[in-house]
Parts: sequence; C-alpha cells; structure tokens
Amino acid sequence: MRLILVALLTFSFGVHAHADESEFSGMWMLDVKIPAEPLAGLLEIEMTDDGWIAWVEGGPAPVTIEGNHIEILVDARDRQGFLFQRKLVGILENGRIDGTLTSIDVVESAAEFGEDGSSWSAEAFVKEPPSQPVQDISELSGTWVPLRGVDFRKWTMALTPAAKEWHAGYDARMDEPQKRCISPGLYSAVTWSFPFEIVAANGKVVMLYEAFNLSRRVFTDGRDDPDFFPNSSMGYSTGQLINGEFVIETTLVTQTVRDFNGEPISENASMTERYRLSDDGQRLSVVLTLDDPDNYERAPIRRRVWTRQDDAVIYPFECDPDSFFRQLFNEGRMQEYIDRTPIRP
Amino acid sequence: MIARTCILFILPLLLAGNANAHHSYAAEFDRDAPMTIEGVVTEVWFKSPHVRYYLTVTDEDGNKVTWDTRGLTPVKLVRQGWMKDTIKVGDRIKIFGHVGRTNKTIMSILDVTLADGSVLTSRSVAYDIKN
Repeated sequence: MRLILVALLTFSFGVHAHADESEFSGMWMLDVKIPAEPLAGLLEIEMTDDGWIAWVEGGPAPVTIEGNHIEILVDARDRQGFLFQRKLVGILENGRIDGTLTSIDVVESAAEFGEDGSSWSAEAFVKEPPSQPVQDISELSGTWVPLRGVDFRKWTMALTPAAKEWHAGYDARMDEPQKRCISPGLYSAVTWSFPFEIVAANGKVVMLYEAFNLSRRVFTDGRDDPDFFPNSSMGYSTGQLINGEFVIETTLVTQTVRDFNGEPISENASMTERYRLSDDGQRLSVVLTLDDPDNYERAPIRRRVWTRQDDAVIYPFECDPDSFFRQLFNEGRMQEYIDRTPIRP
Repeated sequence: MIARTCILFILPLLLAGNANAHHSYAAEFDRDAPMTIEGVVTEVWFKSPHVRYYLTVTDEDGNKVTWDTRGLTPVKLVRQGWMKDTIKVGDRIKIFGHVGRTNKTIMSILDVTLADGSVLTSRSVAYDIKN
C-alpha cells in the first residue's frame, strides 16, 4: 500500500513538474527593473529534442529550466564596449516569471555597475497597440535626445554558418567603418546614443542624426518604389502609420557591421523600425528589427528611447581619420590594413 | 525533476572571451588594468571619431615616451563643458584609463586630472543635453 502511495505521489509530482516546465515555451516580454536603466527585451523559449533553447532579442541565451525554476545567461556589452554577462534567475508562477538579475564579469570602470540584485519579470508577449496612437506623422517632428536603458545591448546573435566564417576573420581594430570616418550605416544611426531631429513635411520624413552627420529621407506619400535606387549606408526607406505606430521599412543598404561586435549586415538586409510616442508625446521609442537571412538565423532586435528636447542643438560631427591612420603607421600595420581591403565592409 | 540544459547554447558563453577580440575597444585595450600616466601634452586632436591627446611621459628609466591617448567624440565632451581649449599643448595632465593590449603606449581615457586638480571624465554617462 505504501509503495503504491509513493508511486502515485512520484507520478503526481512528475506530471506536475513537467507541466510547469512546458509553460515556459513561448514568447515573453522581459522587464528588468534597474532603477537608472530599466531594460526591456523579447525572450523566446523553445523545447527541442536536445532540450530547452532560448533567445533574447534574437540572440542565443543559454538557459536551464528545472520545474518552475529558470536561469538565463545573456551576454551584453557595456557602454565602454566591454563584454559582460547578465544572469537572470527566476520562478514561474501563475503565468508570470519573477526573479533577480546578477551581473557577471563587469568592469567597474565602465560604469555598468548598479544592476546587481535588480528584480526582473517576464509576461507572455502580447503585441498591443500604443495607448496613445500617433494620429499624424507630424507629431514626430522635433529634436530627440537619447535616454539610458531599455536596450539589452545583446552581444551575440544567431549567425548563419557563412556569417560566422566571415565574422571570424573580422578585425574591428582595422575594419570598423567608423574608425576611418565611413558611415556606420542605418543600424548604428538608430541605436547609438546621439540626438537626432525629425522633420515631417511634404510627404516625407527627414531624419537628421548627429552621429556622423547622417541623414535620410523616409517617403510617406505611398509612392511606388523607384526603378533604380543605389544601395547606400542609410538605404531606401518608406514609412506609414500602422495601428498608431510609425513603421519604417528600409532596404537597399550597403554591407556593414552590426554594433561593436562586428557581425555582418548584407546588402540584402531589410530593417523595420516601429516608433511609438508616449502618452504625453514627450518620449519616442523604437523597436528595430534586422531581417538579414544571409547572416542571421533569427532577426536581431534593438530598442531605444529618446526624450523630446526641441531646444537641444545637434552639433556637426567633424570626423577626420588621420589619427587612425597615423596609429596604424606608427604600429607598422599599414600594409596589413591595405591587405585587408578586399574583405573590409 | 527533469533538468534540461542545452549544451549547444552553453558553447557561445564559453567562447565569450574570444568575442572580445572582435571589438575594437575590447581588442585594443586591457579592461582589467586601468592605470594613470602623467605627462605634458604635445598635440591636441579635438575631432571625431575620438579626441586624442599626444603626451610626453617620462618612464621609470628616465626615457621620454610619446603616448597616444583618446577619449569620447567631441560632441559628447563639449556637452560636459570639455572644450577644444580645455587641454592645451604644454599642459601637464594626468590621465586615468585603459592601456593598450599590445601597444603599451596607447590609452583610452576614463578621467583627466588637470594641473589645477579639476577632473574631467570621458565616460559614457547618462545623457543630459543642456545647450
């Protein structure tokens, strides 16, 4: 009798535990409550024949799940560019995950401290329309100053084998476009911490970025795509209001790299930016998705938020690569630089 | 209780150190040993992508060595009041920062201490534009 009872209890707990684990499958919206820098991100969890796998913002994130307990590791870079890890440990209860974040291998001098012990939560991802829909594109006009936080700055993404091979040969010390004052491209323009201005008028939105004096035109008049438009670092963009968001689609970019890690972006890439305004119209946020099947098996996601500050001045960005080349010369690496020309983006 | 850990996805974590080599900053500078140098400014380069100050530093053996130091882009520094003429040729300054991994005479600036003792910071901090 006791054996039967033990067997029933074991079976009961086993079924219960398995049911708990299965509830992790799906898409979750991460909310990390760091006081000075709250973070948001998309967490995707899948069960495969090899076990649980997870992605944060489109990049692989090692995950361990035991019953209703989860542990996720998310690599990221700090503002200085140094790599570190965020460990998210949590418990799933009543359809919601709550837990604590621990920062690992953080460089104190890089000012990334202050995260340790922060609480985090995740709820099932539901795409909801903005509480304050953009009614007219002109509402976006103004000067926007970047705020801290929101973006995980996820370091690694799910590269294709070809992209991994290319990336293995990438040397940011010599190949990073901005080092020699070459436009880093739209992906960087949107995600870097510089102010920018939006001017919406006459069937287009003009976006003027402080970083590298970059600019772009986003056509909003519903025009047909031109027969020919050359590829460029900022690409060809069209935009429209969809469910209260200003959505920009961009194609015809040139080859460049994604963030400081230098993962590649191909000419065949397209990018989708979804802009929202806060209820009071004073904050602008974007979710940027990079769709580039040549290089990524899952689309990388970045997030930014800005505050309206129309009296802010956007400064000219005078870039001169002389000091970069001088350093290469002094270090005896000019020939190496020249030899790398064919593979440099 | 069944624990399922995806070994395949642990691998990128184990290789994380190698990923550093691909980023210019992490590849160029030693994150673990920030240090201070003191010297006289011989050249000011107040342009993007990064300001640079060339510095003559006297080493432990009495040799004069030229250091190539760099900070944030000027548009970020000027918003803190760090202008082109804040540091001039001939100034004696101290710089605290990350030293190059292979080139031991380059430095990424975190802070600069001027002759009058005031400290300038070249760290990416919370944005607070007040023009």
